[in-house]
Amino acid sequence: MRGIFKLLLGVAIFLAADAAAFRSGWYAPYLEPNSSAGMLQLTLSRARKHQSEWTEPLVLTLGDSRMNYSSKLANEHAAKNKYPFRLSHGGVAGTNPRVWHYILRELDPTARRYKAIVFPVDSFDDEDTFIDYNDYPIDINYLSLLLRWSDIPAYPQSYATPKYALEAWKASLFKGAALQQDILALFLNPAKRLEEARTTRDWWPNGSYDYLEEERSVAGLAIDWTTRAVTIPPGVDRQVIETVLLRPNAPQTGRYGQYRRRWFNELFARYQNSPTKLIFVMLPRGPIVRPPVQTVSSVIRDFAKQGRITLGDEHRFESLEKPELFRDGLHMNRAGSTLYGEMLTDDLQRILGAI
Amino acid sequence: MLFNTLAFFWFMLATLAGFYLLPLSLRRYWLLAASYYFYASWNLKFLTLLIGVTLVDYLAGLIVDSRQGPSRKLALIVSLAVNLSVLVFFKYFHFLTAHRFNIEIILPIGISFHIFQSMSYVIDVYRRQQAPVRNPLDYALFLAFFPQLVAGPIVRARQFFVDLNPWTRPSTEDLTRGIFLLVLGLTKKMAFADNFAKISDGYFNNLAAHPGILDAWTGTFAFALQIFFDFSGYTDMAIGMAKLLGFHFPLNFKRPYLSGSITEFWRRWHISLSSWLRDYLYIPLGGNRKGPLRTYINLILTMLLGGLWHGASFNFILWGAWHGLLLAIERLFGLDKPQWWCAPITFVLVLHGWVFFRAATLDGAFFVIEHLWRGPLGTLLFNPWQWALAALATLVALLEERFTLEDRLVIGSALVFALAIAMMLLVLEIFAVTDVEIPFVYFQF
Repeated sequence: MRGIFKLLLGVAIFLAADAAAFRSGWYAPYLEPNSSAGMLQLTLSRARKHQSEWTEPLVLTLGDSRMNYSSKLANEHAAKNKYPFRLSHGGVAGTNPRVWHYILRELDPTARRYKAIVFPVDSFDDEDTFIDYNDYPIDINYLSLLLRWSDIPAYPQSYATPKYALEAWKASLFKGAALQQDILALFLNPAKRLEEARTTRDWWPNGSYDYLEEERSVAGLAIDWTTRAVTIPPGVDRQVIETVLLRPNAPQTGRYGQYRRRWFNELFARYQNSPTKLIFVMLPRGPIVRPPVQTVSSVIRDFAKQGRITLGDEHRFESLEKPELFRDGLHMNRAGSTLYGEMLTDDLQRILGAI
Repeated sequence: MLFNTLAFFWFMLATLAGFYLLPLSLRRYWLLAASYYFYASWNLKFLTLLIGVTLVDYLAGLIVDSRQGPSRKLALIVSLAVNLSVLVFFKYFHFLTAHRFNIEIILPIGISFHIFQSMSYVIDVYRRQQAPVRNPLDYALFLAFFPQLVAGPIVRARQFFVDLNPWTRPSTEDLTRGIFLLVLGLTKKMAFADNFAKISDGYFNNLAAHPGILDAWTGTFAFALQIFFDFSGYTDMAIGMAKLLGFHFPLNFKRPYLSGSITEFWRRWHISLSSWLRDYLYIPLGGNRKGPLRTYINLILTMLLGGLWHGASFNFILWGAWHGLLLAIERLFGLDKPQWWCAPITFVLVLHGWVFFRAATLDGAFFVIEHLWRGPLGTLLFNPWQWALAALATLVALLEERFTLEDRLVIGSALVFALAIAMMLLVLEIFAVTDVEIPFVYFQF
């Protein structure tokens, strides 16, 4: 028994050391800034800065890389029109509802810090793609620093594949193991990493807020959907366009609907008795819109019918879905994102005023 | 089922739980069942081969003990012939027939280890150094005991049966040391060996891309570290598991790279094999009793066969011959008394031997040997934290050599022990290679 006691004491000291380094927030500033976890930490720090420095009621926007609305210009537009809120962006490229749940838990632990939270989606219906978000291992990288002891076993169990579930267990239990690649990269050149991290940390809150998208566009892009012939303008990456816009339709099994239901339910539960409004808006879907797919569910519409969320106008941003306003197959360019920001703030004012 | 996998962790927990929950009289059979399950998880078919060898040598032991005269010797010869035939067929058939026959032969895992272990038992009974085992299941457990079944250490029958008959509950120190060795072994394998394996594999698997002198030295250095941490890590885990079950395996490694001579190196490296070769090959050949020339020949022959034991290739033969030659030279010039300041020279000589051991072909080995001394300067293959791991390992080895660190930690206060465990777990957490599965080097033998 004494041997077991000594082992358990050793494990306890190990877990305490792991927690001191990685759960206390000590390591977070030194993360590789361009990594998934690093980008998420920078975004959280910017949103926290907004919470502490801005006096106006805040509207938090989430989303992935497509949710680019030129924050500074959008807020200038809101201020000019005397809208009683300011947009703070908490979205991170590559994230999805599972990650948003944990972002919100960090940014809004009381579920009362925001006037509204905006969820941008490319469809209110649940179109299955060949990506299974239930089993999306990249989420583990984003969340490596955010997961807590209390997320065991629920978080690991949200993965169907044992291999990913095991990784999720590891990320929940052993932070150092989850951040291993980041730590080893730091050891390769500590001085360079610390300098990069410091520079990015200094630049990020204002730099990313002021950032304006690239001006280039995919003007001239055309697709004949009957023949699937695509006209690519010079200088545009054909492979990216084909991968995004001409991708085959996946069988509609309802798994994306299950995923959305699981994580939005989890997320909304925290706001059940909160004054914060949960608003779903559409993203401009692309420079050219793919033909519609017959889906088997629409979780977001179901939630709206239950009165748990508010939906923006589904067709509001269709005018932005043209090649001149996109820089590639997915992302708006400067003109597109500026227009989207202005239209979004107008829409939010209309929705929030009407609620 | 590799030792460093989750599957093995659950297997070990289940085996330990069953072992201590069952009545004393059933525990050995539980261990046998667990060991057979462990072996069958690699390949069910080869379990029959293991059982076959067990039966032959069990019966041989009884016959050798009970008979007198020529039939006694005949039983020994038959047993050795069966064992060596199995070994030769599975391991050396293609080599001996120059690959003339197009048949696929899968090497049963750990065959070299359990064949040698079984042979030593029959020889010991013949020499009247070991009483025959009466219970066939006891003998089966001796050969199949899962901690050492696939890569040793090669345990002698007297070492094993003294713990089995009668079995006694492991002491607190044994349990503590067992746990310590398990964590240490896992750390050695996953944090050290596997990281160095990535470097050495990158070098030896693509020699043409690494023509420099620094590449050759660091690539070979990486393999030297890999094979040490890999094999000694496995052995630590084997010894640790055995301790948790109340068995005491012999020491297999004793900081070999600090050796002041090749003679000393072989007293510190794979001790269970080198002592087997000494007792069952070198001494029967005459050892050092038949004059200097025969001593040198015996040394070279023993090491050459030791090399061949590792595998059927000229690389292993040359590796063995290299070590045999160095042993003979040391004996000739009286250099076999270890001097601490000779440790770097010894290590460089050992490194040259590892080139033959690791290179896929003889041409590849000579390419590396040439580039250790000639060619463009090249680049260092280690990155800063890999150097730091190597430096940490050297520091720990020196501390262990000077202060018997392991003993102090195991018998020290709970806090000191726990800090050591925590430190190893942290190293494991940060440095363990988990993106690729790198098998234990000695599992191929």
